[in-house]
Amino acid sequence: MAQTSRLFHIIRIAFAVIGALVVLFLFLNHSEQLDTPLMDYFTADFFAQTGAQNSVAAIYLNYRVFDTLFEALMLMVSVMEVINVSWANKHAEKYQFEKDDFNRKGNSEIVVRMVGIIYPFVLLIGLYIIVNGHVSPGGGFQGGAILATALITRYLVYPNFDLDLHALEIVEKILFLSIVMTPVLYVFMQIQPADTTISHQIYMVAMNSLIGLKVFSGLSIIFYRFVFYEGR
Amino acid sequence: MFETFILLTLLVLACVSVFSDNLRRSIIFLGAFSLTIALAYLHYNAPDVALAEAAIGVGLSTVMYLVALKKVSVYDICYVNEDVEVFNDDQINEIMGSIVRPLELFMERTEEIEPQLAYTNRPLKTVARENRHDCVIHRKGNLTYLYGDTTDQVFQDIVANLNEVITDITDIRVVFRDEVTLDGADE
Repeated sequence: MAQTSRLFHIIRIAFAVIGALVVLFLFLNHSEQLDTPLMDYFTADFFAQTGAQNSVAAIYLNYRVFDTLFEALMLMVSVMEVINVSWANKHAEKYQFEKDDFNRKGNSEIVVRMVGIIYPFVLLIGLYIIVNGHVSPGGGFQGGAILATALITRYLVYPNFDLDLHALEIVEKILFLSIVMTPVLYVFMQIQPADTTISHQIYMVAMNSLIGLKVFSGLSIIFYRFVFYEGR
Repeated sequence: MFETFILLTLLVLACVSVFSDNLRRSIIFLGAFSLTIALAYLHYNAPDVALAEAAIGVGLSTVMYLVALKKVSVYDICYVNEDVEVFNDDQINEIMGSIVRPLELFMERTEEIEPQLAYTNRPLKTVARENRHDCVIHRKGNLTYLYGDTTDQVFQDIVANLNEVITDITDIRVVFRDEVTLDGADE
């Protein structure tokens, strides 16, 4: 048994080495320099065309908005999958009817105080990143993740289950619907109040806010689902 | 220079977080890794990606890992059979239906603890001296011994429900490690 496993070990290492050599060989010998037609197209005149000062926002909210729709769908499907997988209901009931309204046992005093100080600033930077997504680096996804982090740090301070996850789930689905509807109407069907920069910017801010709220609710659902419906 | 420094730091942090023997320390190193890679993205003029990495890698996943680590508790069981020369799947399948599966089910359903089983054919005394298992199952001939601590609540529960948990083997002897020294336990 020891000998066969050693043989397998050698074969595995040989496969890995040969694979790495093939990849290196192909990379070193068959790489060619292409022009940058896509980059030129996306970066040439994006401010006038889309109203975004940040070219990344211009790409994911206007040029390639089709991809964004499927990213949002992907997040929603994973949230639904998490909800389906974690169904140990007894734990949720146990936590839901906890009368103790400030259950501080086992929590570090330092963490509680520091989170209390930092909390409003985290919320503020999350909202700032969402609203300024089309001007500065950031956008809906990043801002939503920061907001979700704020809600998750709340668990460290106040580990009681008093969120209505079901309502949050419905909110997420409605948000997904509006995320699909807004670009379909505005970008694909060109139903625009006016073809001006201001109108485009309002569209960008609205889309970023929708995406941010959706990511926030999705990640929060995943976390609280894992914490209260799974394990002990 | 700056680039080399960042990349080397990344390499070191990745290795340290993989090879660290404490899971909590690994998580903190992983957070530091995420922060450094966010700096690297910033250096390569990708502030959007850096922001996403900082929010997800440092904030979300660190907190998530820490909470998960707090929630998972593993019960460590070791199965010792000195008569077996080499442990392979046949031997494990033999005891699978009678000992392993019922015990695992009992752990998961009743005690809600993750069971972790190890199989060995090394002598019992070496196993007991070198590794601190929560529970040791020792098979010797037709006799089955169960070793555990009196202070261990889970082990007490196993002993109390032994008739329902393991139904196939009726002759099981329970030895409390902290009451009996291992040398005298073999009679």
